[in-house]
Amino acid sequence: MKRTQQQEALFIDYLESCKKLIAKVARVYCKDEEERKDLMQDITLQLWKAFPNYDDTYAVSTWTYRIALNTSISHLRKVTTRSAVQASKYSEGEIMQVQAETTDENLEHLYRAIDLLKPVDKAIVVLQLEGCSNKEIAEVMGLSASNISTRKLRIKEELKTHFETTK
Amino acid sequence: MEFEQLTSIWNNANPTLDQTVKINKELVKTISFSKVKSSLSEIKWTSIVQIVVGIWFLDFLLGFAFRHHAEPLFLIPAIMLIVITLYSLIFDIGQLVMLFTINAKASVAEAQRKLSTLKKLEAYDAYSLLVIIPLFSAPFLIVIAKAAAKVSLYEFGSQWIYSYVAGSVVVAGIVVFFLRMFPNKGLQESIDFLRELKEEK
Repeated sequence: MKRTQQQEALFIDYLESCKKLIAKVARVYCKDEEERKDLMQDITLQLWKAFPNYDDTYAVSTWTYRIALNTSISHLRKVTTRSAVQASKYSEGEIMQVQAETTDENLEHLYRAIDLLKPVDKAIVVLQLEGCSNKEIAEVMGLSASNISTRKLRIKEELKTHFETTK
Repeated sequence: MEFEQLTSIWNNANPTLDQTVKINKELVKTISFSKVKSSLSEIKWTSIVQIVVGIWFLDFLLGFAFRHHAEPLFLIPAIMLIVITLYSLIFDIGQLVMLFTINAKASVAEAQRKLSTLKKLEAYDAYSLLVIIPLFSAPFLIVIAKAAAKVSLYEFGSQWIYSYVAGSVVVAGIVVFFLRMFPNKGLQESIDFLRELKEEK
């Protein structure tokens, strides 16, 4: 199946709208710059692969969060995309390119705090910081809203402790 | 530190990222979907080849067992191999089905559960081979020698079989011991993740 020009244009617009999220999710899950680039590429390819079959039962944001987080957290990219990534990466460059980033001290501090959390908790924090409600977070994560609420309290305490001890 | 303050810091990254992250539009246009798809299918080929070889071997074994149904010395090794080949086939098909049903669009918890199961199956597969290969290699040699060269390895006595099996079991035991001492990192990560989900339920 070949993609139409219209689909490509739609995908580019869509990617443009979620590129910041992809970059931030990748930053949360990968400290190493090279690994991060690989992860961004992997997320993009997963989105690209899934794009023609977008299921409108879910909001675009839920769909995007699920794919981005699943790709980041899991071994999914190891079992399904490695050769695809390598094939495209080595022969034709990277879909998403990151130029030299300027560093924001507060943001770096926040990333360091998030880095101490468990993978699932990282995902919840990302969704919280993206402005999702407990219900939306629960939908993305496949957990109950009350579970999310409990986890958030614990995460908040962990982050608070980190910020207090590193003042 | 409240989430509101953190959200503000988080959103501060947006203008910078708008400038620094660029989409290679030409690349999106030039990489065809079929190329990605074909690369993905390469990974699944290994499993498919295993299944095809398994079916072929099962067919061969059934034929061998039928031809030697009156000779227990050949029938028993053949039945042992039929059982293990069937087990292996079911296992491989199960893994392939699971691989196909893993979906990045699923909820994080669901995708993780499936991936953890797949990883556990992969590891179980690797561990079981360490036992299966030594235990079943003697029956395999007996069947192949008889089918391919019409040679009965029993003519060389039964001592070699006992020694061969005993030696293989010892080797398998040592390998399993080392695998338990240095467990598979991917499997450990999956199990830890699954445990984390379970703890929070």
